[in-house]
Amino acid sequence: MSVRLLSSDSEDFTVAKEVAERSMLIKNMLEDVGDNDNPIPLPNVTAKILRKVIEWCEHHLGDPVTNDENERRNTEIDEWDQKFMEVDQETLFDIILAANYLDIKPLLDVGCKTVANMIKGKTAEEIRKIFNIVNDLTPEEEAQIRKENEWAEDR
Amino acid sequence: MHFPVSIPPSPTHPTDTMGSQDDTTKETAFPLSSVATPPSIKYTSFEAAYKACKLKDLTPRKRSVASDDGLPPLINTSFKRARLKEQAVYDQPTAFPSPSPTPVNASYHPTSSLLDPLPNHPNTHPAASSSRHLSPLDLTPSLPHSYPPVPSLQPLISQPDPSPHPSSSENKLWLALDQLPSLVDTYDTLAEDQKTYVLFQLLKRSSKTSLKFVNSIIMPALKRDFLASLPRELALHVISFLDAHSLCHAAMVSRTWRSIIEQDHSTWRLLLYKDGLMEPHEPDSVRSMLRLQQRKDEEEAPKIVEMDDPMEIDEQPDEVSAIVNPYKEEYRQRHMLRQNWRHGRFKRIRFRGHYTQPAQNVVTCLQFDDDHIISGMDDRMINIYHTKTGRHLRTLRGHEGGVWALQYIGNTLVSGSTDRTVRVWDIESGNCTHVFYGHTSTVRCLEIVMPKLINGQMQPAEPLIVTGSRDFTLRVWRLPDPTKDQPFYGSGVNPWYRHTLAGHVGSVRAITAHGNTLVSGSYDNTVGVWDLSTGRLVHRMEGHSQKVYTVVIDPDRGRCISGSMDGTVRIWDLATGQPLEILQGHTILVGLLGLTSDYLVSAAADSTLRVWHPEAGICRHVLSGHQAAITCFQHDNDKVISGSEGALKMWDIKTGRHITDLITNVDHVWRITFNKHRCVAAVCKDEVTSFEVLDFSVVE
Repeated sequence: MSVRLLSSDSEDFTVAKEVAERSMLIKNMLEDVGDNDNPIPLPNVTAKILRKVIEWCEHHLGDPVTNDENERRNTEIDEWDQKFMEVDQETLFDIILAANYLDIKPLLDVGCKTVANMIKGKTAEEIRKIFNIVNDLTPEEEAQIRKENEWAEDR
Repeated sequence: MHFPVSIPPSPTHPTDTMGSQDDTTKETAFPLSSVATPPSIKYTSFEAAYKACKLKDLTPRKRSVASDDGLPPLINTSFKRARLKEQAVYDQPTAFPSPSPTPVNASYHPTSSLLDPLPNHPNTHPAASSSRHLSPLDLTPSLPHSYPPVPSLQPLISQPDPSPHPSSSENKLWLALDQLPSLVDTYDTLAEDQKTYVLFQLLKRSSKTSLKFVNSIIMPALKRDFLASLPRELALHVISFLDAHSLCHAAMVSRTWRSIIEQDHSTWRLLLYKDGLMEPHEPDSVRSMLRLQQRKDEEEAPKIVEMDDPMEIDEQPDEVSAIVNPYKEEYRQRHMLRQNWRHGRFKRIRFRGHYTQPAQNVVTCLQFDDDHIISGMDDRMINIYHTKTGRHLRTLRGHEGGVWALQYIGNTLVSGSTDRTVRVWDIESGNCTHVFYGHTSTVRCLEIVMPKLINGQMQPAEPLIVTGSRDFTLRVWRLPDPTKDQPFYGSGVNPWYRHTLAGHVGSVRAITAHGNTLVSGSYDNTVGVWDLSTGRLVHRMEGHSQKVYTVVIDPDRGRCISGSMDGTVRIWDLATGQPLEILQGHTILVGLLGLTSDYLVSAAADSTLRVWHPEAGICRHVLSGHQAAITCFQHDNDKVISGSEGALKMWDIKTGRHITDLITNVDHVWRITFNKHRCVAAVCKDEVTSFEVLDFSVVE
């Protein structure tokens, strides 16, 4: 059983139903629509990103569904996912948005964890460099915030 | 020949010089030169699109060459032709055999120009008509003058110049520059994937310097300020994976980051539990505080706009100082307090205990809160001290023998003594309000059992006192309220008496209760499980080969645990009474046990403590360092504090590492107990008993 998906730039994808159903959005749509040969339009996802997302869903097809909050909170990312997420920030950004739109929680988690891991353990200046952020705090404000957060340095 | 003074800087300049300077270092000079064309951008993939463009008038030869190189005939540029002429071999299947010639090398061949299929004349070439400003290069601030000078060069070059020999390389440069506009315009007309292809080919021919320059422009443009540009709920999802230390750094990145992080209640709230600063079942004190505050605000200003959740405050404050996140503040305070414990940073108060004579001053029981320290002694006295100052507040007199058991809740204190009585006291007034007779020997242990909601009902139905005695029995009493209830001093029928639990055939040494389930440990080597509502014995569990000294109850796992003189710790099933585990390792008497959600700790006369996994019964750590039998200890999920002859020691429960000696240079440590902020110990030196209060509170 396969499903047709139509990206925002009108590329037609044919994927196995169980792969597409990793997306709760699509799963619910399929339940509502029933068996139908029409492609499902995904106006928020480009072909490039949809191809990535499908790749992820295919790899994680057999994953057990976890509702364990602690497991979801675990910040470790398995090796395959780490490789998968080795993309430019723009793409990572789009994957996160797509995972959110398509309602694929595990992929959303992996994407957000990837960003979190880029932040983790870095100084403010390092973080600014990584994401090309302009520091809009005055030196006085920065000093004040540093003082407020001094306690966290006692580890 | 005269050239304008301002030669337009072009991104190809560095390439030219580097390329011609040193041919032997081409490998490094063109870092991408040997990269194969990725299949996704190969020219062949555009074939269909190309055919659709009705450019079928091209000769078959050109077409085949184009296919070989993967280069569309439309931009069949000189460098390719140049190569065809230069190289005998062009049979590499991928596009542009490498190392590829640079555009300058290509232009050495006078018959070819950069874009020879296109007319040279400025009027007919597309640059004149196409919209230049759409070119992405125009958007690059570092290349502002790529175009304007070029048209002015046109007359120069279009002049018929029959003698190309003098300064031919300069000439070629000019020729190339002349083609730039048309190159760019051609580029503009290409489809997205074709542009990608052309760029790839250009990059392959670019020097490290050029690549670095391009990289410095591209990299920042492809970066994303994730927190600022993601929808708020996704930004919060990202930061929910951060630890407190990283969050504090991230809050310094920019105003937006600070505002997102500081306003986020849920991440800081989760961290409080995740980092063990709040116990798993601990009620969220911040939330109740916020609710109270909100209610108060509403009462004071009833017309206030209703807010579903204080988390929803979304606007970004201009003032950097304006944010106070109550969960972060709670985290900060608890973190600092824990750090004080971890590093042994505290204030110490020491004061002498009160007792009748030095020979009889063993502190048998100790309990405290932020206001009172209450101690029971074997000289019959119960003393109350002020926690913050150590000032002696009062002595409770009445027992006619040593006090061996004591517990208080609120203003109600219950004590048991070798005089066989149980007494209830009003702590504030110091009066004894109730005396219970019945035990025929020393009252050795007692517990106040407060009702708890278990399986939908309150257990026990009312507050109870359970006492264990050397007369082999346990007795159950209702707990009086000393300020409200009629005093009772033993005349007539005792209205507070409930049950006598008979079944043990030796002294009852230890008791513990949860709801209606009571567990007792006896010198008859058995552990008893009783139902407090009926007073019946549920299980009598045999297995220990010697006296049972200590018991704890593990209601979450449906078990109880006992420690014995036989050196073992045993885990029992509360429901079936069956033995589950025997924890071995101690060599002699296990006199004390303690249990928290994650750790079971046993202390023995072999001068060690052991930290066990409460589920599997696996020994995690052996805490050795004391010189004699362990006399007292307490633990939580961070630390163990233990007392023995000579010292009070603190250990890291996770690693088993000895952190510090909290008290040294004493003969005995009688009792130790701690709460969140303080540790109180009763110690003895040269037959003088004194108390030490170690205050770990955060001083700001």
